[in-house]
Amino acid sequence: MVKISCALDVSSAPNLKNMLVYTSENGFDHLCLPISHPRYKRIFKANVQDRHSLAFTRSEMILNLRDWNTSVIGRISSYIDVDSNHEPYRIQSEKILNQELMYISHLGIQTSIIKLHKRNNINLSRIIYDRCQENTLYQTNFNLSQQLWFEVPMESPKSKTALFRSDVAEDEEEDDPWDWWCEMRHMTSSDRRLGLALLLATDLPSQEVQNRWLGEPIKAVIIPTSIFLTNRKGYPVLSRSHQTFVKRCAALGALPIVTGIIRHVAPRNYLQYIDHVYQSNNWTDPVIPYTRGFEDHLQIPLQPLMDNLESHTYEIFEKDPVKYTEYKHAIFLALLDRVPPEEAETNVQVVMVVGAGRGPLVDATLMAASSAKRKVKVYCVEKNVNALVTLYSTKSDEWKDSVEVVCSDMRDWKPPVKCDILVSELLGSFGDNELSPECLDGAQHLLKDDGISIPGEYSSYLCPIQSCKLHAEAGHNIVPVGKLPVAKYEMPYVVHQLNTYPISPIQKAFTFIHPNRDEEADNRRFKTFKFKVEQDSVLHGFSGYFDTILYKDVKLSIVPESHSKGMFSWFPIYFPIKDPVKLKSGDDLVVHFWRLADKKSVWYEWCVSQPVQTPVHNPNGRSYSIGLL
Amino acid sequence: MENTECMNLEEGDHAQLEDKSNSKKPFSFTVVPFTIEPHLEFIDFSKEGHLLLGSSNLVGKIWSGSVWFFDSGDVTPLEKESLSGHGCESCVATGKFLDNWDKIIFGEDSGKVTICSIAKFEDDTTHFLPQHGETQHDGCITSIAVLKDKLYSVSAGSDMKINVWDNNSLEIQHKYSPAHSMEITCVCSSPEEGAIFSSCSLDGSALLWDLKQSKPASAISHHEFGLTSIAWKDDNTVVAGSIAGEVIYFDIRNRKEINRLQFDKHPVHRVSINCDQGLLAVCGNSNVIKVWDVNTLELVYTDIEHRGFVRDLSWNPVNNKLYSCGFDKRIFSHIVPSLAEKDMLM
Repeated sequence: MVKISCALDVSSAPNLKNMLVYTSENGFDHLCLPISHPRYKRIFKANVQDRHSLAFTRSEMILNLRDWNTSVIGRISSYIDVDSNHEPYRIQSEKILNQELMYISHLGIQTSIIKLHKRNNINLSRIIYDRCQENTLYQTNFNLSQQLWFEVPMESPKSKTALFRSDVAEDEEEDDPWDWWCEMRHMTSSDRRLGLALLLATDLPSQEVQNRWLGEPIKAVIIPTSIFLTNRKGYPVLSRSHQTFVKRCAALGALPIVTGIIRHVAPRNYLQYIDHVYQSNNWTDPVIPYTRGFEDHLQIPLQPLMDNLESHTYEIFEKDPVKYTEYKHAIFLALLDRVPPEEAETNVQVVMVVGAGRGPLVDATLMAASSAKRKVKVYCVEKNVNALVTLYSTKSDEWKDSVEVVCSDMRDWKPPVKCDILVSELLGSFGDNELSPECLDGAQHLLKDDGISIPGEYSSYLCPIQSCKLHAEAGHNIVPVGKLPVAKYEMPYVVHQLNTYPISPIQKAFTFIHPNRDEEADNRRFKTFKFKVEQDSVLHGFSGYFDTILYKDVKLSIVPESHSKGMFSWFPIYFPIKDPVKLKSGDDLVVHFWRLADKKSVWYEWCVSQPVQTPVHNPNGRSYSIGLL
Repeated sequence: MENTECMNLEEGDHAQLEDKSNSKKPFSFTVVPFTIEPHLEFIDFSKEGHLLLGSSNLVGKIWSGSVWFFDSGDVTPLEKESLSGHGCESCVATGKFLDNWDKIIFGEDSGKVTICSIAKFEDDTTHFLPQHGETQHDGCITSIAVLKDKLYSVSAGSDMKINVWDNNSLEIQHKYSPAHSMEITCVCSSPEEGAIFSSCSLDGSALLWDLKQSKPASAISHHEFGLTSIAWKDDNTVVAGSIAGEVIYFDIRNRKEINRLQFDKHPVHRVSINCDQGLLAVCGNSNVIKVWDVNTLELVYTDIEHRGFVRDLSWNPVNNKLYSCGFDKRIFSHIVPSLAEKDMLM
């Protein structure tokens, strides 16, 4: 049973109705075909309405409205060249394009495809972007639900023709289709209704180039039947590298479009195979059930100091299978280190869990003590009065006398004794962004001089990224009341990032160590990063990650290279920049990041100084800050 | 209709037929009923003066095509005037006589190339007998050329591919994918050499192909505008039409542009050269046909009789007349005086 949605692209459909039946009999949901016949040329003359150019394609009556709406993907005639240097051809092209777009609109076709052949689609970009605007006089404006995709080949056909040319060296031509797309995306300001339909190459480009494509808003992946291999039973299969790439497109939710003549008996054979590839994505990563639906969806970071978390939020985080196991292990090791075996019966370690929430770390502490065969007295400090209801109830039902529940802000509480181990889970996606440094510094008076803080250390990491998807999502964010319009580009977002290309390897940003033995604790930071740009790309902002050493070698990490397997509590953070910056291979990308604070709040500021200078983002925390009170 | 009734099939062909009919693709015998469709896309003459016509419906409910065989060129394109017709699966942009009148090749939008024999039966009826059909193009076939020695044909398509076929078996001899970086609009065989042909494309390039070479293609030109049609003037010169309405002469020895005519401001669709008479006929996205003296570049003939775009031009080798067909579903013949004849008349 095929589960995915897939389209069949045909060069000709003599009988549209029959073709649609054939398509759906083969399990395809969509049929992709030219909106007018590619050889039905027409010339528009000023003030002349002739039948020849008016009756330019099939009647809408051939299909019912629903089929036009849901089943058909329309292709715009590919000979149209609105960027031709020949003025009459350009003008005619504009008219034909307009006519076809208008008819597509009229038919209610939800998705259409324009093929890009070359660099320089300046006028096309302008025309399409014009039509994306609302409230203009054009009749051809897209509905908000209408999508227009640009078909771009992964590799330039021009450089491939060199294979047969005696007068051109094979690697002579430098014509990267990514540039065609990049220009189009830039000029249309990454409008969300415009997407990329990527034509899969027979020979896939380097991994680095593939990764860059995967940072583009791939709405569809066009798979030519000619790249399929035939397995022993005669069925079509993809090479391993093509499989891998298609799987990654699947993760982005790209619609597969099968194109080309049927080389393996029936179209359904391709569909079944692609379905298999798409489905096989699901069982490779155990975290997927928890992350589905959050892909590239921007969330405002939590502010647990200022706001009380909701029950729902606690529940999701408590389900993490990895985090609390690691905490338990860290506490276990700390207890063993602090209490030699001979004192196991007599030495009662005082453990304070600060910011206890509904108590998962209290459970972890009790379990760790039981495994380590050590005695503990737990103080459970929480300021959220709603969470305290549960804490008090768990104490009376389960924990009994081993746990004291304290209602207080950890920074203000005057403890009866100091603790041996201070346990907290205050880290955000960027490590310090939920103000763990300030909280733990404020709670340090609870800890004995030789006491242990779990976590003992944490660092944030930064990576420059290309992701027009995330940038466009940020652009569609609603500006908070009382903030400047630019605010949406001056705040970080927590987001499960899929449609992203890392421009350069990740670098470490800020590190915090607890307990903080500095004479004057100062959690402000400033760091300048120099990233090497590995290939032509566009900077849309920065991904932020963190890792932490809970105790000794017990670590948690969301840094991609060392990500704790199966842990889903944190998605990375995304710091946008207002205007995307075009980067060239070999450029030095110099970035400055600040963590700043006053008495009331903490905030980040950032800017780029090379290869171009940008203004400082979020000066004085004008758009976003994290409250301390 | 039994294969055995067929008069002109040799023993060998029979064997081939049976062999083919057992394979996965059975013969698709002439589809009935079918009609001459409203858009006449191509015409071609056999050396005996018979006419091959291709028709398509490019705007109607069903985008179908058919090919037709007429005794001569001076006909009205009506079913009843034809000797035979053959319905295609899809629209048909290009077709040619292979050598004599009794074998043809044509290419469809579905990417299928078909070779048919045309057979006269004992009852004096004429029939298309499809012999081979192969689908190897991933887009519409836009142009077919039969190479000079008649052993091979070349097909080109909107899929940017060029395939070279064996005319007997319709087996692929060479595949060039992609041959150009945009839709290929035309292929044309050299008048002198059996292994040489030229091709042109909307990408603006005109290429010279020599099948004897391991890297067979080299650029004749890279034009600023897309090229739509190409023809040989002699073995050193090709003439190409562009989307900018130009007709450009290229010398293939030094790959230089040597002459240029302006046909219209709108795209040229077809250039067709009569080497014997030294005439160059051109049509485009209009109802106009112009004929120049191919050497002096003097305009010798203009015609505006068509009521739709003219789509193809072909010289009848028997009477040396020019024939044209178009979107108006009409075929016209044109008596074009060559410059020499013109001079004599004056």
